[in-house]
Amino acid sequence: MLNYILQRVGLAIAVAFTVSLAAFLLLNIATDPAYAIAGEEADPEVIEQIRIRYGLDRPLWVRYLDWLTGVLRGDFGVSYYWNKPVATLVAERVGTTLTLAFSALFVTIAIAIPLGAAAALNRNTWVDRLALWLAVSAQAVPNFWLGLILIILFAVMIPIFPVSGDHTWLHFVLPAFVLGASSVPPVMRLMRTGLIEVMGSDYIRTARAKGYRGQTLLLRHALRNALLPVVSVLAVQLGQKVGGSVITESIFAINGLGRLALQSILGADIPTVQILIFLFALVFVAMNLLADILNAALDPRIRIR
Amino acid sequence: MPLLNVENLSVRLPVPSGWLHAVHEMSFSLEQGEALAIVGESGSGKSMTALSLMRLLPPNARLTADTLRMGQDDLLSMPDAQFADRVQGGRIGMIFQEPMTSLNPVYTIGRQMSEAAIRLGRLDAQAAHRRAVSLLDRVGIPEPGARMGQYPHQMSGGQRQRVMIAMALMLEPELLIADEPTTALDVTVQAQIMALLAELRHETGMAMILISHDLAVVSQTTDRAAVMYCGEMLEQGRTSDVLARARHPYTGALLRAIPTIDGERRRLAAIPGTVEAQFAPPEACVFAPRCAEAMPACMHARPPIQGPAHHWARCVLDKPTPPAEAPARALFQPDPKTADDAAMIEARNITKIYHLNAGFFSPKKQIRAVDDVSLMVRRGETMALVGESGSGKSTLARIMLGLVDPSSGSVSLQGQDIAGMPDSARARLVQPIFQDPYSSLNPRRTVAEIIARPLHLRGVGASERLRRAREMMDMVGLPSRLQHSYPLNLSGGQRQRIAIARAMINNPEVLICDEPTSALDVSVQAQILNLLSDLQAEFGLTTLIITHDMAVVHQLASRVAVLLQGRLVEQGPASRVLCAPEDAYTRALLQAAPRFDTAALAAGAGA
Amino acid sequence: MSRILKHPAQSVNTVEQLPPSPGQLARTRAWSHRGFQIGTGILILLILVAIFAPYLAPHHPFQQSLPNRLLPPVWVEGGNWTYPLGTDQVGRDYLSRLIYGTRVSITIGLSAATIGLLIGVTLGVLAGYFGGWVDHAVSFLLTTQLALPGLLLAMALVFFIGPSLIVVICIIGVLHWTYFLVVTRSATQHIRSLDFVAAARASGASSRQIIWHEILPNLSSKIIVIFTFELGIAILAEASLSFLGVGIQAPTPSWGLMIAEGKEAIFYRPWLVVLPGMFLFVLVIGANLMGDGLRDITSPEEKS
Repeated sequence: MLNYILQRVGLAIAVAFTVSLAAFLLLNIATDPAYAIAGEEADPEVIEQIRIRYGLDRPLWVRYLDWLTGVLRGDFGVSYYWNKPVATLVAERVGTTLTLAFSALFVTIAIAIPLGAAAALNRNTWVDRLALWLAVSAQAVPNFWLGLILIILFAVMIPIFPVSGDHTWLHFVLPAFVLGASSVPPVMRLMRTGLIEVMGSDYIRTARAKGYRGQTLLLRHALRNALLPVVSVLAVQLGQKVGGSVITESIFAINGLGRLALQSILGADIPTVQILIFLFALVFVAMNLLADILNAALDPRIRIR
Repeated sequence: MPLLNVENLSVRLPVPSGWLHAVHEMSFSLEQGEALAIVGESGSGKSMTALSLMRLLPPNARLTADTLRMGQDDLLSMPDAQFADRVQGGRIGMIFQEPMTSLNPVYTIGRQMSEAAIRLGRLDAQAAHRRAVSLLDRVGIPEPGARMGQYPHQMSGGQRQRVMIAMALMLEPELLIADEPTTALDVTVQAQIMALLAELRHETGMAMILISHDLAVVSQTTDRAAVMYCGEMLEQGRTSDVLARARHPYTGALLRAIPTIDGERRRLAAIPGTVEAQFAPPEACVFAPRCAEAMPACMHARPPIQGPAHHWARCVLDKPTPPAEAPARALFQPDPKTADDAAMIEARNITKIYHLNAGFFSPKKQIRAVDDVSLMVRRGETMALVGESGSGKSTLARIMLGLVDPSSGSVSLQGQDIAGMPDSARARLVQPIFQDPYSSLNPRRTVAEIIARPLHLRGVGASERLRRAREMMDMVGLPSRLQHSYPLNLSGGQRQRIAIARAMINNPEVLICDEPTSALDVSVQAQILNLLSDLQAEFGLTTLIITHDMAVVHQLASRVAVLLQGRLVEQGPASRVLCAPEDAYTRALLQAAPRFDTAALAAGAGA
Repeated sequence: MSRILKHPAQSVNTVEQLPPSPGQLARTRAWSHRGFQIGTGILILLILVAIFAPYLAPHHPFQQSLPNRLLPPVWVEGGNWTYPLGTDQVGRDYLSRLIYGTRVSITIGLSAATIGLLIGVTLGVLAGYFGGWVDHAVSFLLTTQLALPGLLLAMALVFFIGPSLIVVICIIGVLHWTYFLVVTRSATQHIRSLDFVAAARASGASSRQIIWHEILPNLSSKIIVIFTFELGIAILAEASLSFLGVGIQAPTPSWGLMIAEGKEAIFYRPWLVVLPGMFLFVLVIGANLMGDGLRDITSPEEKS
């Protein structure tokens, strides 16, 4: 098992840095940072001065290594736009985004798992059909539109939840719902198909032959097997929520990393964008790793060779 | 008072076009301690019968019966909760066919063994643990105490089946239902498991219902036998009576279609056609469409029961008259005078090593799938390559086909090394027939396209391809109207014929058949084996047949090679090897092979 | 050559019927699958709307009419039939803009999904068939791609390169091939292990011939199913980008952009936000229903 984990860690680190390299290349090739800083209408001399001042005249690979060594030291660079260290910007907002991400995960689990299980155990009844229709609809709803509709509902018609800002936990209810809803269809389907497969398996038949039935059969024999793949998918989903919070945070005016990302892009703030892409990738990769570890810990077939 | 009494049991399953009648009005009874075999091919309803006794049928199945009693308990009307606590596991235990998937992979052996007893309050945790360990010991698991904490994936298939047996015995049932318990296991393991079951029965006085398709296994281990076909019970009686003096044409035909390991070689008498599913309650004899002795009366009404209660058959005829048995085609024997008769296909010192990647930080493991094997098949000969799972026989076959490269050694066809040969030239010399008829045909191509594909690769034109394909279909006995059908709904036997046609269209010199009939029903196996034998004689084919079944060796092969864990342990003429094997493993294989207990069958003749 | 007919495959005393082909079975299933019919119906309808937009729209989508700004739809007080679904902040007819919006969404969706298909299927088949280092390289590429925060990267690239139709299509396509890859790769690995591929090799077929003749035909139905789902995903991706201001630019009527423009007036004129969202919802659900239906029809054993 140790072997397995070490292999995965090595892979994770390799991926994270490849991502940072890819992002660096893409961003710095797509545009000239000097123009971004100076503004569109600046004189060529001003641009040239900026280039020298920010070290943008050096070759690409030198700049990347410089950035990389900085990151490893903890120096995330300085934002062109906000004129603050990027690290500060990130630190101010990371807690908010994490709160949002975990709340969204909670929403996903609370809806998708019971619904998927109910659908699997009541195949081809109204419960099953409802669950599938819900999944299909939730997949088709644009999440930003869902957010706006909820704002109309809860700001205008039934004012229970605040729709802007992030001071109290109530502020997180609607955004968590919007962010979590987008993960519900895949997780629900996974739970459903997984449980259907498990209930049809040979070892469940053996359990029935020993006299297990109904709820006991489900809880004692089927659930653990069915949840195995779901757990690792949920870990990955959590990783995606951190990076996918851009829209939700913007709509509900939550000051998290997602909103920072949007503002940085629109403000052509390349250092911040670069760091955020790297961080989001790192979080995703870490969550993937967590998923692998959970898998290995929960599944004896992987844990014991 | 019989232990189990079943009268007119019927099981129906809903399908889009109506109802599938899986079991139709089946009746039997079982005494305490008796062993009953329910024998049949696929679609016979034998498994459904077993599942219905345990209430393990799919939820949409409909079960009806006049009587379903076990002693005082009415199994039919008992409420589910009571049935689960009292009967399932407690009075009736069951073991299944696939030991590899019948145990929960995430729980320990110990927990799975003890939980039922603990749940019912029969034993407390410690007592259950002790009993489990002693049962594991009884079924032959070494180090039973340590095994309690292990997981199923750490055990082999044979061991898992032993665990299943031990688990079934935890609650001391009066009846054990074994649904094809050894079909998925190697022959040597099969013999051990069947012996174990017999011993346990003697010790505990437990009754047993054995579901099987293997008449030889049944002959050795059961007191009474019931033969099923298409959901109907066609014959029932003492095992010795049923097998030695079969009353029903189907039983007789089945016996004549099975290759045996003893006795004279004779031509296998194939049963034409395939098993048909019953979508309506049968109003005629279900076997009539395929019966050689069918009469108009058979098609009009369900045949009556003939014969005394201890041995009856559902047939119009009182006593079937079996056709005379044809002697088997003579096996090709190489002319001893021409000692250096050029080998048709020869493998020299073949070794194949697979490397397992265990990770960066631990040493790579090596598996020697094939270990320095040399063998040679002369033109026109049939050689059987025998081995159990893990023997490397399939790997060797693929190496000899040129599909896998050996780690060392060479294969030559007609003296030419296969390694340097262009693919198209090799294709004309050696062709495969694979084991699984369901994965050997491309589901997106029609029958004619599949058969003519080799010609397509050589650039032959469309009309010529179709003509040749039809020719091949005639040759293997496929009706030409199937030429534009897809494999989707064709039977296993039809699919194997297509595979044979595809191989033969290349006009090869050598056919390598990897277990060509083990995935087919018994009645169909004979058709395919006879076809292969006829093709071989007609075209002077050199054949290498891979099999685990010594009976097939006896029937078809002139020479035998035995593989054990990648090494060749014995090689020689089939007649010699089967009678006087030199190697201990070969002896073990022959010993374990299920054979009809002719002495017992003869002894039962007087009763 | 004599004919060996002594072992006929059919019964002696009955006549068998010709078995149905997979195509016939699929058509039969399609006829009774409600979801598939609804989804396909919606999709075809909206494609037709996109094609015939100039004939269906009552006004030109760019035509401003400031005196008529922010009129409500016809069922709200103040609306009239000249502008059945109301007007936006600069007086453009909403119905016309919504109709023309189908062009934007469908064009971008189809093109981006096609790009994703070409990249994903090619890589998937190669990785699945050849295995070895090819597979390792592709797997690494896949993990890297999955780790990239797609929306963020798309936003950044579109913003920096410049928001044009081609750029948006290419970027969405290049960021959405992973689903194709994953499914194609595992399906290819599975098919490759089946005996009919070994039989083809034994008959002398080359890798290229095997991939083309044996593997791809068995992948086609899976690929089509994924294409319909990716269509929905691409449409939503474009809508998100346009909503955030880094996609299609004004005055082109993209539904996402229309929602963004209407956001300011959301409390008093909710239809500006609700209507384009509904169109998006209907189009994507049509694609998804069609995809679900296709999956049920072509491989009923995987019905979920």
